[in-house]
Amino acid sequence: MSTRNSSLGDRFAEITVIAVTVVALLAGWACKTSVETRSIAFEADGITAQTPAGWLQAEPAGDEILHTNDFSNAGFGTTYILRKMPLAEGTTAAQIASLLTLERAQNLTAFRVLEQREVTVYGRTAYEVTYVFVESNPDLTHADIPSVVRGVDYIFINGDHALAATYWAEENDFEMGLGRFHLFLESLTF
Amino acid sequence: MPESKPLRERAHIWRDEFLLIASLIVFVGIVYALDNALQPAFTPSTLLLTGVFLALVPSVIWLMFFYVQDRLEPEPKHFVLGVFAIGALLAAAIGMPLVENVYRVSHWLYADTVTTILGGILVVGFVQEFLKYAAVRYSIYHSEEFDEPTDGVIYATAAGLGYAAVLNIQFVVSNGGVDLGAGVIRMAVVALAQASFSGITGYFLGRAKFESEKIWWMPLGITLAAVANGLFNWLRGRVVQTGVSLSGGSVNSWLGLALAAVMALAITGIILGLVRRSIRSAQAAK
Amino acid sequence: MRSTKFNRFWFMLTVLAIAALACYGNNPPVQPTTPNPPVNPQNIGDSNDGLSQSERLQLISATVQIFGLFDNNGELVPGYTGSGTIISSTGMILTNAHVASPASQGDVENEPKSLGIALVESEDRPPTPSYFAQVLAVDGYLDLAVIQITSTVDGANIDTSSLNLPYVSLGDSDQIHVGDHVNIFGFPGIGGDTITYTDGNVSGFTSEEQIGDRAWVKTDATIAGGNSGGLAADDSGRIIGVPTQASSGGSGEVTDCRQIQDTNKDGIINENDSCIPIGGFINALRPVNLALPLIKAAQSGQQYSSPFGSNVISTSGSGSESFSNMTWYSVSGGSECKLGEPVSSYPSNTAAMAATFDFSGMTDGQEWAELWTADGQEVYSGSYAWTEGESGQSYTCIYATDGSLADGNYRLQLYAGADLPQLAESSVVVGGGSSGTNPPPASNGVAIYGTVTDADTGRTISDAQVFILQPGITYDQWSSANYPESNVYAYALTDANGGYEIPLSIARNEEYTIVASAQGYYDRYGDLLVWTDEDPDRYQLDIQMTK
Repeated sequence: MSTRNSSLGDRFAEITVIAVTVVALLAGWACKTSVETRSIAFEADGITAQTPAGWLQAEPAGDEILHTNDFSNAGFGTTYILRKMPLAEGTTAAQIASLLTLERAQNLTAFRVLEQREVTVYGRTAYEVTYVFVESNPDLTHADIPSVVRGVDYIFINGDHALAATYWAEENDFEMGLGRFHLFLESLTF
Repeated sequence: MPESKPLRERAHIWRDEFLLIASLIVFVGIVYALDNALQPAFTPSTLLLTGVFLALVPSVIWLMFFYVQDRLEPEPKHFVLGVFAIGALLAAAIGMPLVENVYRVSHWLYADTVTTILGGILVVGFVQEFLKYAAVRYSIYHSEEFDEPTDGVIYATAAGLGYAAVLNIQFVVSNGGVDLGAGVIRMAVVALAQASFSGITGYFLGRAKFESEKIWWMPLGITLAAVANGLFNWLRGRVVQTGVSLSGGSVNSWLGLALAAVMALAITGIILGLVRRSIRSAQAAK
Repeated sequence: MRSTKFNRFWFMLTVLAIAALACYGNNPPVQPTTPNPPVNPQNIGDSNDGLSQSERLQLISATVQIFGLFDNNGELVPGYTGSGTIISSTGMILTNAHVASPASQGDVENEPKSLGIALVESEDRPPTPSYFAQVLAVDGYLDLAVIQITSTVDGANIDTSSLNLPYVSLGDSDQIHVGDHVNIFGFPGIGGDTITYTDGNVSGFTSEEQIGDRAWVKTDATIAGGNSGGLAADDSGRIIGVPTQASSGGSGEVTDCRQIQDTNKDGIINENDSCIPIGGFINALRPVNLALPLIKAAQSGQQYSSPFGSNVISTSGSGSESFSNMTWYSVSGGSECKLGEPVSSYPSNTAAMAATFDFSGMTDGQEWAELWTADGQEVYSGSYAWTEGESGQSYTCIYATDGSLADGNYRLQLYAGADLPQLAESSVVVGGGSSGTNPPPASNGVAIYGTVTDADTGRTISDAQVFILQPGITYDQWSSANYPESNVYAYALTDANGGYEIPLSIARNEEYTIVASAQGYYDRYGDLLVWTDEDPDRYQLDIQMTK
């Protein structure tokens, strides 16, 4: 007796199991993607975007028009910020980048610029500044390890104002969350 | 259809299953009581070692029953152990990396109820159930030692317990050792659940080998196991936690253990009934 | 047979894994572009008869961009830019007085709180802000200043002796002649922000009564406005002068100044905003020899006082200044501060407030200052040159830049006189405390604290968030509104030991929803919980989470 020679039906059954599993895993991936890219519409000051759903919508401060962060994230909550800054004619994105950089250097701990360059983001010219800083709870009684946060600013010049789109994420999550941020950038209209 | 030996009910297999459930609960009770009574002071490393040891206990209990009782027609022990090891290896090498690092379920699975159920079935359920199926299907399935439908349940349970052992060891290690009282409940739940789900797969595997089943038979088995897997995890989450009140937000892990025991009993009972029925109909046909 | 099955199994798994991984591998949507071409490409890399390439690189790396930084509600906001030249390895920088300290030319309002220094790391990129600097010596009349790098941008103090910055040696401006070649480096602030090089020849000299024959070196080089304070070097690579707006010498007027940012946050860009000197062109160099006294004073740590008439705050006052009779007024017209009626307090959501005061014994040109505080925190402060005459009535006001002033106890203090003693103060309440949105006094409330643990491991969870929502709001209402922070009454993050304490105490007999959230766990919440009068002031609420 030999049970090693599997029948044709047996082989088909084996393949269908794999096929069903692959289909399920692909559907699971779609499920993951749809949850992670779930968006809500944002509109303020003539600027629209799709921002991640399920994130905390913080009160915009100063020239911010959007400040949203993923509060359920362990460590530093991934944050998107949109700032709208009025400008005079002829001001360049690089100038705004320098201004933002100085402001950040003053307000953030261990702030360092990693890279700055001119880029094209979904067809728009922008100035990109990548940087890191350390986020620690200002409460001295809060016994916790500070987070290393990586940030990137995209500065767009649009007529009489500049728009700065900012992405902050814990260093370890930065790359993983970048795709989501690019979706946000893609949805941005102004 | 390959020729096979006469089909028999092998009562001790089923007794083993029920004994496993009962003894797991007893085991949990003992560890929990000891932990509470003695309040043992562990160093981090001994806590870790104790945790890893406890993580293996459910599998050892089942294997022990199996070894002691299966005297009449002993399954080759090393095959059962081998399938157990393959289940464990697949869990460690593919299952957990896929679920945690590729799918990163902790980042999105708890977003809402629909996602929890859907993701639990499609990702966690299918990964786990397929790998446990694969542990049997691509090792012992075509051997002469897999010689009757009940063997499907035995080997699949072994694979499930192997998977559970790795899940539990990872649970202990990634938390750097766990509170023994609380942790042992979780381990028993995982072991019961994994053994039960692969019991479903095992039943379908056994039938698939010895009866000509339709092409959708085996996919149906995996899917059922995956659905049971996803639904159970969601249900357990619902059962153990109530709303936060003024007295705080506690989690009643014992309810989760009770749910796991009831589910394991139900699944084992149903499979037992199905196997008996198919054996009778086979005998009647002769 | 079996081995082929195994192969197929692994093949399928590989396909599966690749399919899963492929989802990560999108094309990057962000593509770098080539940098802007420099403004005067024909000049860069030109083999002129002057500086060698390595000398030029040395000069480029010693030229810095200077930012004037202003305090805006605790944030430092850049208001203008200029250029400067590093003249010592320890971080001493020569620049214009109107860049380093506008107050030295009488422009007290535009005096920055701090100076930011940006260094060139690569000539085809904008300079990187790296340091903060302080003024060591300034001469408003000459429009020259020496500043010193004091700390890194993140606030760390610097051991200047180990800075080891590239610097430019001083030349001798008395030894230059008409027709000599000059090389000018700076950050013009128009047409790109990379360092810009222009060159030309000395076309003549201009005298000034107080200074002498070589008050100015004229040049035919085109110098954009933002080059103010930058570097003019001879062909030996030594600094011979500072490109300076010639008309600004002594007059105190910065004509090459342009407002590009809404620095006072009144919503419009106008002459009230601080400006960046970028427009226009300048064609004169302040000879470096005139800066020698400043550099000496700065190096030796001595106080420098200009031998030329300073036009800052022109007088220290009469010594008999008096402010009195402060009265609060309602204000209309927002930033225009039109006075309305006298008031004893302001309601919530007040947009602006003003106080009148009587003054006497004042002298035009003397310094006076105001300090506004709310609940002890500084809201606004400023010091100015007096322009209102000897006696009479004046007023000052503040207004909210974003809607309304926060409720609180406001106090205005006025200062004038030789060492700016406080002459008058008055307090007023905004919001009266009766508003429904105000949290009740803490002594009456309940402080919530506790620990968040993993039910399955018994271990504490750090980085879990515990929210208390505004009274009456349920979890479902909050989540269906997409989690607005405005629905959050207060929240806390658990520390490394899983402990949290809600920073605001909550009112008794109100309905609060509590929400706990941590990555990889089910959210837990309790809707509309009520703490009654019987509950203790500190209430422990422990929360277990499960996966």
